[in-house]
Amino acid sequence: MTKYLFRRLMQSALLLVLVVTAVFLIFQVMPGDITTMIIDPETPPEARQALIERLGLDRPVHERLVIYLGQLARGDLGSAFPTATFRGGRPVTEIIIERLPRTIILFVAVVVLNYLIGFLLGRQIAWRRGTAGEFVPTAIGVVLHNTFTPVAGLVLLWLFSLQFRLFPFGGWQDFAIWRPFIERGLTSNDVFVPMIFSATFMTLWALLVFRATARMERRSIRRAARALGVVVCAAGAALWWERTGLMPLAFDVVHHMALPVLTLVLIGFASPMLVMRDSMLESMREDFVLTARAKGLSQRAVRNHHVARTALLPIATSFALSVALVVDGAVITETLFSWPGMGHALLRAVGEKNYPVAMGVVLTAGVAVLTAHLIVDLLYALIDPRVRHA
Amino acid sequence: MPDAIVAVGTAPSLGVWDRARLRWGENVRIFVAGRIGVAGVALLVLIALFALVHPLLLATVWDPQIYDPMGGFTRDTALPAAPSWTHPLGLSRFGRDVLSQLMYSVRVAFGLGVFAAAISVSVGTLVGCLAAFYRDTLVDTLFMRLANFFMIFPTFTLLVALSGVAAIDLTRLAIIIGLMGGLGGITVVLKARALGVTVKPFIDAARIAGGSDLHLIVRHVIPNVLPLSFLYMMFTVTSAIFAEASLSFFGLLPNVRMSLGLMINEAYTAGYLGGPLLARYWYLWVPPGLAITLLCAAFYMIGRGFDEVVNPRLRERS
Repeated sequence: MTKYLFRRLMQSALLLVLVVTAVFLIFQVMPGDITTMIIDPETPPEARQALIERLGLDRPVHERLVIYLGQLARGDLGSAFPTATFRGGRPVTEIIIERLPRTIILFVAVVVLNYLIGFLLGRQIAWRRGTAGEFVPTAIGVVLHNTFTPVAGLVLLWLFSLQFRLFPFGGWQDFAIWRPFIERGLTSNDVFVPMIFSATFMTLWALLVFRATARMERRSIRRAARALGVVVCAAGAALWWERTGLMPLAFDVVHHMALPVLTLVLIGFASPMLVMRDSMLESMREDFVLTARAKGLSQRAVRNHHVARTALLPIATSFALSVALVVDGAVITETLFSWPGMGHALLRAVGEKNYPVAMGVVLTAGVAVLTAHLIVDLLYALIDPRVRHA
Repeated sequence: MPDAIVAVGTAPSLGVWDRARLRWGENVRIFVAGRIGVAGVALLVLIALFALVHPLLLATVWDPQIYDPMGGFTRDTALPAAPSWTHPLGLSRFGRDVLSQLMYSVRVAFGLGVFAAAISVSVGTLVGCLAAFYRDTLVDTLFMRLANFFMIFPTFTLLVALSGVAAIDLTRLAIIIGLMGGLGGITVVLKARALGVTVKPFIDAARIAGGSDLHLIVRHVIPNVLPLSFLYMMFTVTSAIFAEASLSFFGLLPNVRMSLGLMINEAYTAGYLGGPLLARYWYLWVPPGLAITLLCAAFYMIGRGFDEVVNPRLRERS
């Protein structure tokens, strides 16, 4: 295991360097002269030349790459150009630290819901192969999966925000609620970071409860135990938030988050569902399933403990690959719903030619997917001994 | 994966292509039995007909001065105009006929998707087979590292960044998407499949008979992985169409003059979509939005149907 871990970490490090280099080079190919953008055109030629030399813009590309890597290692991503969205030219790191938690919370909610719905539905439709029970969810899933994200978002906004008046029309905070807290010096991260932790904790708790109760054969007892577990979890979280005094803010954020999350889940759940279906169909052909049936186990026990259990591995792989898809989806939805996260920053930065910010965001996305990939691979090695001994 | 190679029959004296032909009938039968693939083909034929009628209409009944998707104009009406008999899907904000724009844009999306997919599949198949044939050499390691990179990197995010630094037109977009897909996931999947082929006895037999590396790869390895390549081609088409539409929607492709995403972008930037006017101006966004969905769904469904042909393990146990 240690050997595997070491090899895998080395691979990730190598990929990271590749990502950084690629991103750096992409932003070098831009047409035109960058100096005309960041130096005031009124500057006299001598002062201009001095500035270029001081900024190191006269050095060859490979030298600049080395300098850039060195700065990255110290956590320095440079400063934003002072364009409309990023006034004041703050350090890019600061912008990322401010915005990253907002994207992560969106991301966590979407991924958890996608995989939960996808897993449960996929298990169902594989089991009901060839019936309307398979056909209807598949058809709906395929249509939703191929829906153009902006159209879905705009329709949901119109429907739920303007017609039903259930959710706010874009944005991320109701300033009336936030004002007293902001006057006390609260930043958005004071709310978002605890939210990420409690969302993660609640998910893990729910997983544990369902895992622990899975073997209860009597339906009524199983349901009661699960309901109890969920209620305990919700009550615990509510109590904790009450004590911090930030409960109204957290609710406000959830209220604003609902529509972007709904958009991404509607479009995204089909993918894990179909992977789960295929994977179930493969494991349903195995001999141990026949054995389980011959033992006289209930349909539910065969499906959940024998087939679905072995069908989980491809889902883990698809998770690693879907991280990129959710990141892409977040870029679109954040902009559509004016959710000021990383994706929003990227589109604004590209529109305003604010290259330091754009570079920072793309790099963060790269690091995020690399990390997710690494975590999934390590989990995989834990679940499946064939991987670590290969 | 001994049962994974579909195109190879049992008759040992025939060439690979002959055997593939023998299997053709059976593959079609499996494809038809899956139903979803047939629905996809039907849908795709309908869409293709819809797009192909456009130049005919422009040449016969439609006056290009009025109906040209980029330059046509109708005077003396308030714009945008709701659907009428002369303009079945109404007129856009700039007085262009929406139906004509739609037909033209579907053709654009079709071309872009197929071009990108053709590039990604040729590159992916070639690289995957080379990496499998010369496994554990420098070629293999190099391309696999590259594939890992492209496979996990968010493509659209990268395209957004690229569009900020360089002017991308449709051809370049297709090439970029094709390369990113081809050098990424497709390479990995095809290499895995090709590895299964390169250890087969018939490869050794062909080598002993004096076949060169080139001959082995072209005549024996590639034909055996082609069905899988075709499967991934379907999925690349979808992602290419989506990427173009999303980029155009945000106005990041200034060189594209007309496309499905641009049609929606035009209505969005005019403020018709992000607010209460959405339902009133349905004819500006429903047609292109639906076209994207149907076009992508058609390719996706064909891919799913083909999946059952390529992966025998998905079939019902009989």
